Amino acid sequence: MNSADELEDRIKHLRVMTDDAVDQRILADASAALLKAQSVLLDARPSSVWRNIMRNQWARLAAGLLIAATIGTFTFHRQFATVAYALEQTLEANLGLRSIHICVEPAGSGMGESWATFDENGNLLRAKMYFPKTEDGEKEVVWQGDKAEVWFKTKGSVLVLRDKAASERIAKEARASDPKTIMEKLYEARSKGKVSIETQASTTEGVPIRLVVSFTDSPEKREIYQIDPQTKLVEKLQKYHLVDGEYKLTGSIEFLEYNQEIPAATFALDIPANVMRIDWTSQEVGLSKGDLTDDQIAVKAAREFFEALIAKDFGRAGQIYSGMPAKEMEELFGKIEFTRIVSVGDPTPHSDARTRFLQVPCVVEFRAGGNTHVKTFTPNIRPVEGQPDRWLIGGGI
Amino acid sequence: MIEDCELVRRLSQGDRDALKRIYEQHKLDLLRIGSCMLASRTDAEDCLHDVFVSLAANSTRIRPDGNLKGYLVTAMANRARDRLRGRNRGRPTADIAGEADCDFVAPAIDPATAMIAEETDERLYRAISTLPAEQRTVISLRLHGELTFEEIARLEKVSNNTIRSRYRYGLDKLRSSLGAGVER
Repeated sequence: MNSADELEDRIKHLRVMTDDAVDQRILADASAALLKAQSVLLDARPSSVWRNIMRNQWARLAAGLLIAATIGTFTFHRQFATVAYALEQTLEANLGLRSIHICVEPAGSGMGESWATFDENGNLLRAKMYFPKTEDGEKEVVWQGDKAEVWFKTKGSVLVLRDKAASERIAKEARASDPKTIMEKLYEARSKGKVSIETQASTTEGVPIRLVVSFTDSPEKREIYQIDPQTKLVEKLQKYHLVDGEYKLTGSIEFLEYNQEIPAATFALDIPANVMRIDWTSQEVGLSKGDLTDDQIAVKAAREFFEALIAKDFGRAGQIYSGMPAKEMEELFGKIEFTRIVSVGDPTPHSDARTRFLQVPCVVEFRAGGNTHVKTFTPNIRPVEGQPDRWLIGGGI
Repeated sequence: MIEDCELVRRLSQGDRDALKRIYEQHKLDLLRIGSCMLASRTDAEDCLHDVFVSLAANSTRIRPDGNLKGYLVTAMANRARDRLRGRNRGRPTADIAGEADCDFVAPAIDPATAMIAEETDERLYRAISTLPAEQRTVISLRLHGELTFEEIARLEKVSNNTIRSRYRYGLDKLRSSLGAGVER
């Protein structure tokens, strides 16, 4: 990169990752704001039609009758549709929740399907979650107690870990879409005046009760809950967003099976033999931080990782590199002959703070394909889940 | 420019297709500006969201003869700057970290490919993120926002010469930090 023009050109055309879900959200919210701006404009304009009607005595009488008739019809309809249902009935029905199977559409980058069991007090006992499309590709997670197994299906590896904080995050994710949590949140939102709920019910037996939920601060959002008239359990939650003047379905959660026995095999990952297994519960991985600062241990991990590759000590390199077994490390790195560490720079936080990585720029010399190369690598380094004193390289270099 | 005027005119009449077209035309450059200024894609997306909601909310007041890209770039830069100030006031980053769910990152499975790959844009982003905020703002507004130095000077409320210096120093620093990894 010698000329200024070349650098400017590369900056100008920097790749930008875009996300369809983000585009949709922005356009939906902007469309709602556009609609609101237009309606404010219309409200501010004198309504000539209305003014003309009200100037004419007969037309005024006709308009009055029309309004009265409309109100009457509306009131009649409301009385007819009102049935003896209260949200508290669903809350009470949820007390008997022991197991649930849920499907989320569209999953986006989040959970697509889950299975969970609960004890008699409603505490989560076991969970399995399926994520069809995350940044790591397709992923399955099973959780029980403080132990979790994460199968990175696209990347062909399984991570086993035991950690309270990680377990709490997984349990929180599993609980976020269980019907008990969802209905309790709805009840709380109504108590605080954040939502209003219209109950619609048919007199025909077996037809679900519908709760139409409007949001006080977000009129562009709407949710419809479908309640089983017999059990009072929620069967489906549909989410709508105002687009182009009408509410369009943006997603749904379907509560498929309440309190059905879930086979134990469901909570075990069916992992093919060729998938690499990294078990953080049975081995110490990474390096001990001791009295070092975060920056110091990150630099140390980066330096020792490349030193191990230069020495072809794949066991040592793998211990720092996510705890990967020596055999797999050799398969991945063995073809490259690392010769020298040119420099190790200062760590900087990863641009996505959620990853909690420190990135250490390392300039390394190596031979590959008969040529000598000097490249900058930036290992991502952070504490090990469940082994807080230890730090490792994760998510690639 | 004529097309911009037409789009703004249609937007002022509540045309959602015009809104979508403006979004598609400008989102990438605006995201580049946000990402360079804030060194965070999530924050850049949040700013982009605010810019377009605000554009739509003020659609009846925007002049069709104005510079649409300049308007959007200025709005993006202002929001990104506000966010930077918020960070400097010590906004807790734990909130951001707390949003991560099941964020275990799998080990990379193809490091050999990564080894022989050319310098990536990720590396350039990282190098930009190490520049002082003033320098990366000027570079991004100039290259992605296509603003003149005079326009950036007015926006940043500093002299034209200061802006030019920030731009030059920023590029020099980038060139020097990226130079280390060039294949020999």
